[in-house]
Amino acid sequence: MELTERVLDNTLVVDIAGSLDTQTAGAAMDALQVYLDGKPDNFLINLSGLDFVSSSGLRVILRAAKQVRAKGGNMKVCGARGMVKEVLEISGFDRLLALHDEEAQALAAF
Amino acid sequence: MRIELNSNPDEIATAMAALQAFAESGAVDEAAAQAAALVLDELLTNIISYGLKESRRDQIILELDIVDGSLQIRITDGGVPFNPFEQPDPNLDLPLEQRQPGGLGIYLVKKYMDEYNYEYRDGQNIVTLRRKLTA
Repeated sequence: MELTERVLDNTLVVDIAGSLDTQTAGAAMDALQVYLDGKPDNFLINLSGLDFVSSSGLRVILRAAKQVRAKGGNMKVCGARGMVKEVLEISGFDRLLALHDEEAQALAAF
Repeated sequence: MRIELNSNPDEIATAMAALQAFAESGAVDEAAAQAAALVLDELLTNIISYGLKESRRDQIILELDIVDGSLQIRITDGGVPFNPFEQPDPNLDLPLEQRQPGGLGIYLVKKYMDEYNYEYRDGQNIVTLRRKLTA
């Protein structure tokens, strides 16, 4: 699992790549928390480099979304593909979060 | 393939490596291998985090086989009796503020496997799952 940060159009973009599972979820949440503590208004998680997610990874995304919402910000998710997109949809996250295929779409929707 | 695992979170990586080796050596398609990886992450995490905590029998046996055109996964542990498939499915219609992550793991296991079965026999939890392979 790799986590990197960018700022685009006043939006904090965090790319999560690799595998977000039981073994990596703790480190991912710790790394995300640093950004969440900064209370970003616009927060985008880009999953285009993510190959695998389990419920431990969904937990990280859910916690991040709840925190951003509670602090008055907006969070969106983009780039999920293959198995990751399927797991998000089966888990109802497509109804819970703003999921976009392309990063540009997500940025334009803030 | 049959491997023995200790009740330690690091052993999930051992199970994943065994699955990968099994998938590469046989006729397991990529979708089935990915589904199996998801299932192992979910079920082994549950067993190691909860089931075996209060038990002295901390060994987990993982068996991977091809049976009747399906990938069969069997996980046996000596933890407290627990049927993971008895818990209710999560309510996916709740708004974000009320959504809890609990229960999603087993829900995903059910969705990604074609068959799932639990039995408690001789002091052991035995979970057997099958996923059809594409020819």
